[in-house]
Amino acid sequence: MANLGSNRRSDRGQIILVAAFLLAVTFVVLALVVNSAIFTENLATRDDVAGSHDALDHRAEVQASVGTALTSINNENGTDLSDKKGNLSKSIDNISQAGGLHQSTQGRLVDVNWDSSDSEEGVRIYQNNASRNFSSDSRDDDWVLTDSGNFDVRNFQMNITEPEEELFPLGGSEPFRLVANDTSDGDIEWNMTVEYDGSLPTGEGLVVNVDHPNHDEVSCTHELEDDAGFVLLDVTGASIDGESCHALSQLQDEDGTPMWFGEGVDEYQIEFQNADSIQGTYSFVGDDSMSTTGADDHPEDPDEAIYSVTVDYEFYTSQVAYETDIRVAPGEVPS
Amino acid sequence: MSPSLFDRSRPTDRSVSVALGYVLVLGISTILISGLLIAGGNFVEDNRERVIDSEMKVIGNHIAGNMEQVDRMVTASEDNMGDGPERAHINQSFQRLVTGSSYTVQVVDGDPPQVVLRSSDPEVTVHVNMTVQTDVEERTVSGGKISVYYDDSGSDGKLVITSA
Repeated sequence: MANLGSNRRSDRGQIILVAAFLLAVTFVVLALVVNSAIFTENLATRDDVAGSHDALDHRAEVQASVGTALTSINNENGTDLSDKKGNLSKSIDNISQAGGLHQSTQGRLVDVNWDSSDSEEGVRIYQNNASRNFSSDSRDDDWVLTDSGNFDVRNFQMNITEPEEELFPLGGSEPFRLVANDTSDGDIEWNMTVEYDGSLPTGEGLVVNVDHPNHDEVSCTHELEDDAGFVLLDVTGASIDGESCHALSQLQDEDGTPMWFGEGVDEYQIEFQNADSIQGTYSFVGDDSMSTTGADDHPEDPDEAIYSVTVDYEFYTSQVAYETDIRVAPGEVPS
Repeated sequence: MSPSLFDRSRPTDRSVSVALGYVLVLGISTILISGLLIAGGNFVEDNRERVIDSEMKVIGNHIAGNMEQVDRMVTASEDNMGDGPERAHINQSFQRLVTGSSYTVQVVDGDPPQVVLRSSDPEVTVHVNMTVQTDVEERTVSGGKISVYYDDSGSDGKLVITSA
């Protein structure tokens, strides 16, 4: 018989040993699973790829910087077109260098290039004398600034001085009117009037009314600062002293009805009416389809100008690439 | 003298079968320990599937985010110039395996377009919606280093995903 006494050698527990070994393997697999779970938490908290948002942010900065340079260079009176292009080329090189240097500290390669042939020429019509009303050179209060045509206008700004004295009061018969007049059809025009309102509960105000063929008249009111002496009306930028004016941009109705300058008219000529009811400076730039040969005499001769430029923008990091053209036409109304 | 049945100083093992005793002990031990291992195995497998699911959701959201960002670059160029950019891509590296299993990434056009990730073993599928204005090209790539780029070689520009 087998010797099953207590003095036999100890070899019990084989199954427990095997089971313990298998459990150990299970724990190792569990450790892999827990490790993956921790890694997933880490992956979830990571930001987007570095530079992916900056590619677009910097693009907007470049567009704004080039726009500012273009506006400033166009406003230099007495320089001809080739001088303006030369100055703009230098400005764009500076913008590219400054931006590139800043971005290179974060490991990004950024470049902005401009070929001076990549531009659209235009004409700038303006008045710099802030003490003069908006009448023509021969003091006509109702006059035509441009020939009739299908053209675009941008950066139409008026700096209205002494609004409480010079502007026609609200409800008066002859407030200043800016008109984009379609002469082929007598009733079709986009127009804007500017009036002064001294009866606002909060003080004095400027009232801008806009009317065009596709919508009834809409108004916006801007409260004037005490003793400011002037107010800046940006017609194409739809703002008064920096405050947005829906009557010049887009209504918050169901259709988002646009009210932008020139809305509802295709071919038009620009006219001032009751130009003695406003005083200050004005300036706008038209594209190469705008001409002034048949227009009335301007108080200051229209200047050659650059209407728009197209620059080449490149943004590279080790993981992100964005290369595109950017068309810069500051103050242009949306199409 | 024969030992007495009532002699307590000596243990008695009459009518006890040793072999049966061992079979019973080993059998019950085996059953208990097998039960423990099966439960442990199922626990690990369930958790592995859950972790794979959440891992692929995170990877899918990163890829969808990259596609939406490239789409924003494309629409910025189209709104400004009327044409897409010359080049736009975003590369990102992810792990090749999720909790030990390989996986594939598929872009499906639809309403809305989706990024679909599938692991091979265990089979887990994850869908991530994305909001893009540019068309997407339907394609399947394996997990790892993923590149999302804008391809304007066809008539319409498309967002394409590829293994970098």
